[in-house]
Amino acid sequence: MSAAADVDRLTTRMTLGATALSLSVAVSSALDVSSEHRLISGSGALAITLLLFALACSPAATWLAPKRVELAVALRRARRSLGVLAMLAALSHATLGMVGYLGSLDLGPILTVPWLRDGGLALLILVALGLTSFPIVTRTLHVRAWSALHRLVYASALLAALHATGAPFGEAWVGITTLLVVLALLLARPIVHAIALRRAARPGRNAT
Amino acid sequence: MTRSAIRRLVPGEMNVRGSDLAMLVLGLVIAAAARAASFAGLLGALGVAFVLVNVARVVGWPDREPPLSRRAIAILVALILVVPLRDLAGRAGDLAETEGLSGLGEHLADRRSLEADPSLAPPLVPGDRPLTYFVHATGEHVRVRLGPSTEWMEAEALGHDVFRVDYDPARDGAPPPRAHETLASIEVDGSATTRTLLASTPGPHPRWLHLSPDRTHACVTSEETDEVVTFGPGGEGARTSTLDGPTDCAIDDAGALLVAHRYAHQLLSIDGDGTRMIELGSLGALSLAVVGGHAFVVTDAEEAALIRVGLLGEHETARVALTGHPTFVVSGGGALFVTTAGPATLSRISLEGTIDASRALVSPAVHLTVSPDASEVVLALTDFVEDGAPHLGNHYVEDRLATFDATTLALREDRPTARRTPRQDHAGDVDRGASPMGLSFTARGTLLVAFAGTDEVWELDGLAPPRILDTAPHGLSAPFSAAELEDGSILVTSPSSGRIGTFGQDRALRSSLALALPDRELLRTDPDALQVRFGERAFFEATRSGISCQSCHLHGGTDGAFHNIGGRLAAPTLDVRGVIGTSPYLRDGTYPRLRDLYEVAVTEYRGYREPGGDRAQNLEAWMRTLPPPPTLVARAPERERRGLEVFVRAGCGDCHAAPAFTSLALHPIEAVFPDAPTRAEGRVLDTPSLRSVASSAPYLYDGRATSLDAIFRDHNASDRHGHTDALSDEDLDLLIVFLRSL
Repeated sequence: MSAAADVDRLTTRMTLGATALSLSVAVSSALDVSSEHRLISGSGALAITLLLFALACSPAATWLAPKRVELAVALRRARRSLGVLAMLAALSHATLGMVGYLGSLDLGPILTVPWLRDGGLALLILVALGLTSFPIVTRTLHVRAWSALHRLVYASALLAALHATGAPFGEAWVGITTLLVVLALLLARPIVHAIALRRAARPGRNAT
Repeated sequence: MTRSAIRRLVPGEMNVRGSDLAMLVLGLVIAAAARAASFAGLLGALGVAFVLVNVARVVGWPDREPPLSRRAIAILVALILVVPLRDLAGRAGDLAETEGLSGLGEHLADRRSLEADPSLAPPLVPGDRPLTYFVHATGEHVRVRLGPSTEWMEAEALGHDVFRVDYDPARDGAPPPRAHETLASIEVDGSATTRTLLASTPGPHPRWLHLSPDRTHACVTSEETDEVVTFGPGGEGARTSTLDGPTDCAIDDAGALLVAHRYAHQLLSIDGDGTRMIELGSLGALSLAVVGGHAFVVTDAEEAALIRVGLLGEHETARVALTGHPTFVVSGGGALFVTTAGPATLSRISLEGTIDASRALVSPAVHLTVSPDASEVVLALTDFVEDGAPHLGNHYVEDRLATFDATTLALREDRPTARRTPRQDHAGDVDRGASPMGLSFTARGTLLVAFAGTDEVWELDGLAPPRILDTAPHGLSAPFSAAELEDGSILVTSPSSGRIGTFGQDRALRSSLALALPDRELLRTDPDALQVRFGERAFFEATRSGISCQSCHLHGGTDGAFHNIGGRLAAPTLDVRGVIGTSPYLRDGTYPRLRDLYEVAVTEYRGYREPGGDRAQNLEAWMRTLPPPPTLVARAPERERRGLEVFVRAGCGDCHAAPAFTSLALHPIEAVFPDAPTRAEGRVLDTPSLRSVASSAPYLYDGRATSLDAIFRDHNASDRHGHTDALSDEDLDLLIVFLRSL
């Protein structure tokens, strides 16, 4: 089998594995809530977990690149799939929240409460990132500087964590954990990069 | 895969391009220029920068490094960013405020504490009074021990992982007197977990003085230390232990001392023949009057009522149902005068138990007294409008003495007490006559008024300027009541100092009975207790506008009236008691920490007259020690369990989650009350705790529900404040039984 096919297979497996794990977290989160808010809580947990997996792909790929290039490339590809899935989950969560919690599609209440506003902004960023993940969109819209836009994924994750921290149906530890994971990934980014650079520069230790 | 693939995966420069940098710099400059102080503002600025950079790229700006060295670029970028970054940093506080980030740590700590398994609320152990705790734990059998000096207590299972524990320090052991923390253990099915709780053992608090009919003797109770202090003709005080929670005392014609109690269900009668108990059934008493061989007590237990009992030991001989929560009963001219809060009323009731006259008040009486000739009854009030709607803005809080005809209760005189003096800084500043408390007539017919807000006692003789006695220099801060004995000496109580002073006719301090340690001694032995004491004084201390915390949160509770602090939604005053561990605070959750509430005093009410240490911290220290008010109803465990079932089925517990019966979360009002008549767009609601909800009417954020029943039957048409539409009448009754038991 070719290296490209290996990468495709790995990408699919990783995307499916991460999605399955995210679904498991979502179901467990939904069970913590006692009423009709289960769907809202579960979809929120699904979106956040997928987003965290997507965020973890870059440093993981950077770390693995010097030794496991195929895996690293697959991770880079899975990042996009997971990010788009996170956006879709977040859109579902927002829709369920507006119908089940706010009781209308009126955007007004979202602007009043900080945790709702944070969620709204996180979703806005995710949608922008999700759309610019497709080359056809960036070409059509003449978006050239999309890579800088995609760094806002960290802002989106932080806002999502704040949203989860303040949200009433669920426990605060979800938001706190998310916040800590995002901050850890943000800090890990340059460190992992520096270590990977050093490892890549060592003669005879690169993957072939 | 090749080395080039690795280079793509691990690029040498972290992939920062000129256009990325330009976008960031431009975004920050735009954010600074637009004075952005919110996440939305910052993102909007970055969005604009993103569009501008993309447009530049589309029209031909090359994506390559400018012809400058990296160091030169770094210096250039730093120079460009220095002003906007300084500007943005200056607004970091505003950003934190807007986005609810300030005090987030305290809020999350409270949430984590309540969401833990097991969890217990409130996180407070009072050494002076019984308290009911709720535990949320996954298990079958729960025991709780509130500290090493207390006994293990079995928790009563209510279902849905909710347990209840009734603690009585007299029975189960109190925390050590000077302990400020205690390590509680919660044992769930044999497995123990520890939780740190605040321990609070308040010192003596002598409050309301009462004179014997011949004015030769006086008495005052200290509810916190279960004692009554009596004064004889020489003004010498004697301390006597009583039952649990003495609320009030009286001395009858024969010289017998009677004491009413909040937690003990007996009146204590002490005379020359010894001590007798007069049973009150299952009732605790809040206030007491003695007339013609009968004792009259007002009670809030089960239902608000005035009860008559015979002093010779007869049980209840008459009962008058009252509307609202009774506060005081006094006697005069062969009648009784009873005040209530929520709704605020004044009633004249005959000794036989018929209501002769009644009138509504705008705010509840802080205290009341009857003139010696029994022609007038005088009330200390924080607001009054004759036959009008209550003022909504709390800048209308206007301390006053209102005099009513004792027969018809018609208004005779309305006298504002807040006075301006040369010490005022600005027009309207108040320097005297703030927060009137205890009232008492002298034998000459002059009126003594204690002002806790301005540390003084006035003697009023008609419309003449008052004769003023400053009490703070004598160690009597925030005085509560004053009474003149037959020999012309004046007794003055100061609960926050634990002291009763006796002043001679020349108004010089003759003696001072210190029930508690003086401030100086407390500073040396127990500085934390001193901070709590300072906080209690700050609660009563008047701001320059004449308003104190006491103005609305009467006696640490609520005036049951509506106020719109700083132009917010007009809402009923919240009870201050039992707020520990429930961040954020205020109806809209504006303040994440109790100490932040101090800002209201500084910004809305112009601060205090004199510097007074760290009032914010002191106020927080004191408020944290206030337990929730006691539950008023008799237990009905089976019905309460069924009520909890309904509570969970209706989804109430999603927001009012056990054990504190709040999830501490903020909601947009229109999401919960979409059909509310009060305009609520853009308003936020902090989920209130349901502890002691039975005594906190009126209900809902705008107070439109006057009873628990009305919340569900009349004000939940949208079925979004709990799913109560499908509940049967019996279910609703059970739900209310459960709510009243909290």
